[in-house]
Amino acid sequence: MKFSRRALLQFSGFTLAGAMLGKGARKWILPFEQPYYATNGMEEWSLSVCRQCPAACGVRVRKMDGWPVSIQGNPDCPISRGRLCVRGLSALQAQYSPSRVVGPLRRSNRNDSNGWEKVKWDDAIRAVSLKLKQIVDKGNARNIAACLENTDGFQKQFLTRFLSQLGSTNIVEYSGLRDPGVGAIANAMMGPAGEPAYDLKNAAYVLSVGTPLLEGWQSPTQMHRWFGEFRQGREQRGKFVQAEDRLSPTAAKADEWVSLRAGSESDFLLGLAGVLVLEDLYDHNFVDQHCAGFDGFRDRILSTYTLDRLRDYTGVPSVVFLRIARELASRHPSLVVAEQMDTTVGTRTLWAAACLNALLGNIGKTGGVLPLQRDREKPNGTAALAEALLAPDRPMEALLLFPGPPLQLFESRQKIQTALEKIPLVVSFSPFLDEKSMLADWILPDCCPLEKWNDVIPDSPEGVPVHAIAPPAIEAIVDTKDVVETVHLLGAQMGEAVASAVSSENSEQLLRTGFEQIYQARRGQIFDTEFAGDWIAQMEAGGWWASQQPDLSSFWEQLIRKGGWWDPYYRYEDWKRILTLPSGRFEFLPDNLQPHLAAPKKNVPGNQSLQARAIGIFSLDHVPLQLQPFLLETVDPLQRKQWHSWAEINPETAKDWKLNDGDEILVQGPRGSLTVSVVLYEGAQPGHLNIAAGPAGIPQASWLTTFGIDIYSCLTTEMDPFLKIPAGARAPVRIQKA
Amino acid sequence: MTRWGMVIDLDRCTGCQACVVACKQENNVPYSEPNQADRGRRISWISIECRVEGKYPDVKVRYMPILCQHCDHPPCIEVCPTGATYKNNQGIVAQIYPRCIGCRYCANACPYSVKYFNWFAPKWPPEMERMQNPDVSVRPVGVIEKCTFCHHRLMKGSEQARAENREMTAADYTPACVRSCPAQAMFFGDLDDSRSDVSRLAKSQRAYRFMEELGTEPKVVYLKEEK
Repeated sequence: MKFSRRALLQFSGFTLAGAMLGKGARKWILPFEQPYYATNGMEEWSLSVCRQCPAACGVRVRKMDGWPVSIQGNPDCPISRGRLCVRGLSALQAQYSPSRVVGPLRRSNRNDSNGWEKVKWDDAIRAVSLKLKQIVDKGNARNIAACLENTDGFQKQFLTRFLSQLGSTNIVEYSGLRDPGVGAIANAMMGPAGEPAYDLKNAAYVLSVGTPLLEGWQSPTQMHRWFGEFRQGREQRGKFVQAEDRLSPTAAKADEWVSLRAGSESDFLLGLAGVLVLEDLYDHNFVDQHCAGFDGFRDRILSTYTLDRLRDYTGVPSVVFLRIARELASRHPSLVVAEQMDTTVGTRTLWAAACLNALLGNIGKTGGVLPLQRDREKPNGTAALAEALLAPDRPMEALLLFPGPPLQLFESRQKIQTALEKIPLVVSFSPFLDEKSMLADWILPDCCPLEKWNDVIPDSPEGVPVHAIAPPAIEAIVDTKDVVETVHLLGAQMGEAVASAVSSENSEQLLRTGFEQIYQARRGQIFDTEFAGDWIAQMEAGGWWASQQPDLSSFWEQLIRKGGWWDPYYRYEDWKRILTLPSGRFEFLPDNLQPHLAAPKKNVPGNQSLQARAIGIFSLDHVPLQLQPFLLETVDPLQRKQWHSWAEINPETAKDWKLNDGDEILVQGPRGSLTVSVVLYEGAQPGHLNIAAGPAGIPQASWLTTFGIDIYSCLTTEMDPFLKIPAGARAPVRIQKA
Repeated sequence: MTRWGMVIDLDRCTGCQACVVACKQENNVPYSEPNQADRGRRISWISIECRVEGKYPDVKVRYMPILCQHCDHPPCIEVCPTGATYKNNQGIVAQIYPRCIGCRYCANACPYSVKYFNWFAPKWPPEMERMQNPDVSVRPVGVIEKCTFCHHRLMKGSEQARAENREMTAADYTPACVRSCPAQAMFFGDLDDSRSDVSRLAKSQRAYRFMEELGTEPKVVYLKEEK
């Protein structure tokens, strides 16, 4: 008997079943009665886009009898080039997860984690749109807040159009892949070109100060691809130096790890700048022609960063400074990267790194810093949302949580839940019972990526526009709707202005209209081989371009057959576009940054305490990932821990505290306490406790054990005063054996 | 004579573990539960070994993907009482699951510790049963399993070539781990074919085999990190 998908759904009674596919609900669902090999072996391949992080790698999905059984990268996609990271390869465990929401849900009591009730789509749309309309009609549309993924594309523009037509101005975007402060600093020093990219592909020498280059930063698959080529894919092997207070997985792969005192990153960068100036090794041409404020900068650093003081500031001997500065100056092109992920390294460090790159003369050049070739106003990150949520006098009336990266609000889960009690309406569009859904009253579940059209413009590490587009690979296996369709239906109930802004009934309609813009742009090309990309870049550099498709409809056919479009040509040294401040120059000391450039105060924990901080785990940074067993089993290459969080501690420090490997400790921080087991690690700085927390797990949603610690229930975070972005969980703590 | 082998360039490898997950997906490797993983009973046909040397701050970390080395002189087949593990005529050390009686002599004999015993019956939630690869059988409790160099892909590749009336080429057969590695640190092919990447790389100055002094003649060649 051949099982068609429709028959299966009816057979197993999904329409009557409980809130989710999961342990509790399963007792109302008849078990699948299909044997493992209920296929006649018909293999088919489809394209899709991975949405496990905002990098949007193109993927190819292998289907057997219509069911996906394997995911690989799309070789034509310039981001993945046929490869994927651990998250991408685990994506089927999201697609088939028992923690998927089977259809629209609502609950009357937000504190009841099991109180979900399944409703029909029509009823859900009607109820939610009615509530939103009531808020708008009262004139309070600005009290509607929304969180979205910080990528671009027609689908994203559709959602922001809906929100702005509603009148909501409280739109928060986040991605978690890059330092959220780097754009603002670039704006201050170079002009409004948005976040810069880094031409790592062409750099010969890379100095990274704390940047988790190989831990999911910016575009994980692409970064790993870069590393392989950087090492053994070119005529001359590149040199990579990581300066960091801890031997991270990235530092583990560096040619050299410079162990910095924690908090001294900006001093390290400025010390190197000092050596370049002192020994006259900086790029005079670039500084003279394209920079302003150099004299003030030079005087400042030469008076502070004398060779004899560098070790005191950073813990790094001055000979190392001399050597690295000379290497930076002599191995061209050299590049300095100093960023974090999700939190910021801070104004001073970002500023210092930009100054160092300017001294090296690499801005806008091959192998250097590449301001993005597009204007995109960067909206707030989630810290702004946290601020709004927790402000006692701000009357937020609705919160719309669209699918995307983790909702990290830098507060304990308890405090967030309490803060949300003030908001009458919280709607989650997530396909999973994740940290967003568990805070909501309503879930209007989006489809998983394979079940819908995907259209994403991620931040490309190469600084060029990349637009991934793919049709659905399969039909939705449960009663979910593409969020575009949901928003169209909501908009239709909200009056003429909103309805016409979101008149496209579904993503296909939306994209068939939108893609014409790409065709009309008359540049770039549809995804193709790497050689084809180099070829079109060469052509454009010479001022030529030729369409490879004769007309609009064959362009569309090819576009969806190959998975997207990009323009690989970067206009190096296009100064009018790159340096857009009124002076037309790179400003070493812009006025708005000057008050924030003082040296940080040194945190010296007392005798009885350790300096604790959170370290990121890329594969598990948000809750849906915690529900994928592949990722729970392959957490970290360094510590090889599985399933559980841990805290790194230096063996000498452990001896002082009489701790052995694997001991459970109670950590007492400024906000509260947590329990975690320790791992003795020589790469941890003495006196430090590095906690690999992950986000706090959600027991009720998980059909597995929970992974994760609510780190912000224990540690605090400092807010950068200029950027207004958190610097990450960090505080002195007391510990004792639990 | 075909001898399938692999080259892993440790200078390129980033320890990202994409190979680990790609293998599990391709070969229907069951996932463990926390208490089983704590007892060292996680099954991972390929895994990243990590060594930390030195004392802070002079510390060096090394990653090394370890999988079945498909030795030409494998200790595991010498000790198997039933002939469940054997080396086939293309050099792949294979496992016949129904013959395995679960004595675990092979797992003890293997110096690389890459033979894994199914201490528990593999189970997936019913929702996830659909994602099993139909090309690879699921192993029952009580038998040993290990890397097969994705032998099912060899079968598919050679059948495809036969159907197309041509010789099989290197592009027809790539194990899942090699195919997935984003750093392109893994190479696979016929060590006896002088035109293959693996035979060329195996002669590199950086090439070595893991614990080859034991006489196992592993067919996985590592290229050490360059300085």
